[in-house]
Amino acid sequence: MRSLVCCVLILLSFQSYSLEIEGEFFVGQGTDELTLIGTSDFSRVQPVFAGFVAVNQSVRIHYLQMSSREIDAAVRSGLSPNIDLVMSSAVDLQVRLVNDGYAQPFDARFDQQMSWRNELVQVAIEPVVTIFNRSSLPHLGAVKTRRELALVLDSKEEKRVSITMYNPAVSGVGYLLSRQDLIQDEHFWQLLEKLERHNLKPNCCSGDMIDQVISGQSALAYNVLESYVLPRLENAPLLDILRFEDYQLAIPRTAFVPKQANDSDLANRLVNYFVSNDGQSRLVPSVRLDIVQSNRRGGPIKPIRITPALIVHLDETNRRRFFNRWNDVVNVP
Amino acid sequence: MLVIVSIAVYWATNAVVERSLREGQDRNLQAVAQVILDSAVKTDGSINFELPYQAFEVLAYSAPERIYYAVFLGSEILSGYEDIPLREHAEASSFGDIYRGESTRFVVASKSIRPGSSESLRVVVGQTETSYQKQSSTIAAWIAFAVLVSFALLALWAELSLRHALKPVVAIEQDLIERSADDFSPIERPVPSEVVRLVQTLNRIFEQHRGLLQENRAFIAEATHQIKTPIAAILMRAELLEREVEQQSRSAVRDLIIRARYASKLTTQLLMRATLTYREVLGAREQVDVGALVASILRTLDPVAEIKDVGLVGVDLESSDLIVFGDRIALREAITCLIDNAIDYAPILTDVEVNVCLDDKRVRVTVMDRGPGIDTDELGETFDTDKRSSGHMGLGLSIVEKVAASHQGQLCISNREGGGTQCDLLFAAS
Repeated sequence: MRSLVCCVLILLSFQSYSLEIEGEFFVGQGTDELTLIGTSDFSRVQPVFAGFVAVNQSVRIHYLQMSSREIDAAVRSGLSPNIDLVMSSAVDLQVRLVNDGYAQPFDARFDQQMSWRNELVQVAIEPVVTIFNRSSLPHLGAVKTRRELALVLDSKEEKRVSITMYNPAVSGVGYLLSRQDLIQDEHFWQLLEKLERHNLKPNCCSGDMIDQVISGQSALAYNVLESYVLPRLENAPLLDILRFEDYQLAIPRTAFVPKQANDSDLANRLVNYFVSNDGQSRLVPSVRLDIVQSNRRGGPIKPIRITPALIVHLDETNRRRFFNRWNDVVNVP
Repeated sequence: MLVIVSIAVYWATNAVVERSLREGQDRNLQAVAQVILDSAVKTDGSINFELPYQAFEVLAYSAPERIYYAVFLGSEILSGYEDIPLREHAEASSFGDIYRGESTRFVVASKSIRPGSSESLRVVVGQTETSYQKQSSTIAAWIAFAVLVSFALLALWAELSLRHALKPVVAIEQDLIERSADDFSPIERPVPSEVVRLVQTLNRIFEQHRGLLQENRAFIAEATHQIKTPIAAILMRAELLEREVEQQSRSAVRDLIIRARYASKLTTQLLMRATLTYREVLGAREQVDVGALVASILRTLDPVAEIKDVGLVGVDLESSDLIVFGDRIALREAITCLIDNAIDYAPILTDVEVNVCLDDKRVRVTVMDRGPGIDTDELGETFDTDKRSSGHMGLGLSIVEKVAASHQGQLCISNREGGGTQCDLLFAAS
């Protein structure tokens, strides 16, 4: 998907901070400019923006695509030019920004399950699945839980295969997912040890991991974003999805209006549109908010709760503790 | 008053609720801080501790508040928000401060890293308290409102029940207002127990007054009668004596007769005065046709005038609009006094003229004689005890004055042109 986006690195010089922008896009011809920064690939959110602009002819959306770390740094450094909306899948960073007082409350009152302090609201959801190559791991079709996966990988019949997953040291999403796995499953370290006993090669991004599994370079990719997998299924007969029945994590995409937003009113309208039925229908089905309630294969979707407790993941000492253990288990080449 | 009470209740409730919510919040924060502190272990020369995700999540569930934390070793920050205002509250185990523009509670837990070491590990956990404050002020507002409403209802109830309780008292008041002056019957109306004693006292006073008044009347009647009888005897004996005594003693006897008559008259007037006072208290009033009244008096006094060879002339007595609202007996007595006096002082073969007319909404009774007149210097004294040298004696004018006063009337005495006295008695015409 990343290839679809023109990955031009534009270095825009701002007052005190240089933002590393992955892409800059405009939607609409209007004169009221709404500037927002987000981690989503533009192609994912473009239909929603188009729908919003179609209703609000006077608006032009200015979308800056950035990494979640860049967004965090940009907000903390004091944004200039003023950003009206911040949208990111790094829910831990988002929560910390709101906790530290960089957001302002929304005009509308959102459901407590979907928002925190009414300053941070969930606009989409990103379920996480495990994928495997059917030819490399033919016995995996029957696996239902992580425990079973560990057993299968441990069994003598299974030959040593290459396995991939997010590298938490490189990817914020990977780190978040590993921490949440640890909270959900006390045996997560054991599972990691099993993966490591094969050939674990951590990776940076979902797209690369999917490519590796399709090509057979990796037999299994643990924790990849489902929405990146689904479009590839058609042309990759060997690619299969493993939805665990013990739990399936999902990362909420959240948005907030920064305190110093230029046009908080317009930002509020865009968020309201985003969570409306019309806005949601323009997203790919797998990332719509109602996926949590939908009846699908596998166990219950457990979206990562939007809670200020997430800030402890980001604590440096805590990170260090985690990586001490991680490096003990995983031999990063 | 209600507003002041409500404000006081709001203020007090807010303070109490806020304090109890704050204590609860402090306990939660204390628990988290203690868990962090307990997890701290020293390994390889560095302090290792854990920030418990679930404990923070519990804290986050308690209220949608911002959460802050920091771990210090001595004054060195190991982790968390280093700008937490710990230095200003070095000794406190919990404190409130404005942090990042918001009112925030902080709790500090500390322990020394090894026995005897002065360096201690301190864990600070903070949480903003906006929603707690909002909650306590909401509770306080509701309680204050409830107090306001219940006080208003109470006041209304008190007013109604007071009115209900006072109903018999008001009825007694109305009874007393409507009661005539000579009515001394006890109050029979059933009354609530609170005023039974009052009514009993009133009834006892009524009874005492009735007794007193009866006694008084009986005494006056008795006394007058007892005095009149010997005076009448004296008079009769003196008159008999007058015919029998020598010429030179006759004038002395004559004087005795005059004085005895005066005593008799004075006694009658005394009785009349007492009667009038009593009637005034009774307030016996009616429409009195003064013209007819005067005509009737003239008929009564005609023989007296005749004996004295004095003419008694009534003028304009038939007019029908000479009506006064007053006590018939008192009016009759006053006018009789005036005419009687005039007859007494009128020289032989002169006329006493009596005239009744309407004078500017007042009924004027004029009695004129050709007597010696009065010394204008003495006018002031005339009303008290009548002592005109020529013998205007008795309480006559004093009775007239009293009647005039009790009827809001007026008595004018003046000397007539060509000699004599003119008395004008004026009453408001009804």
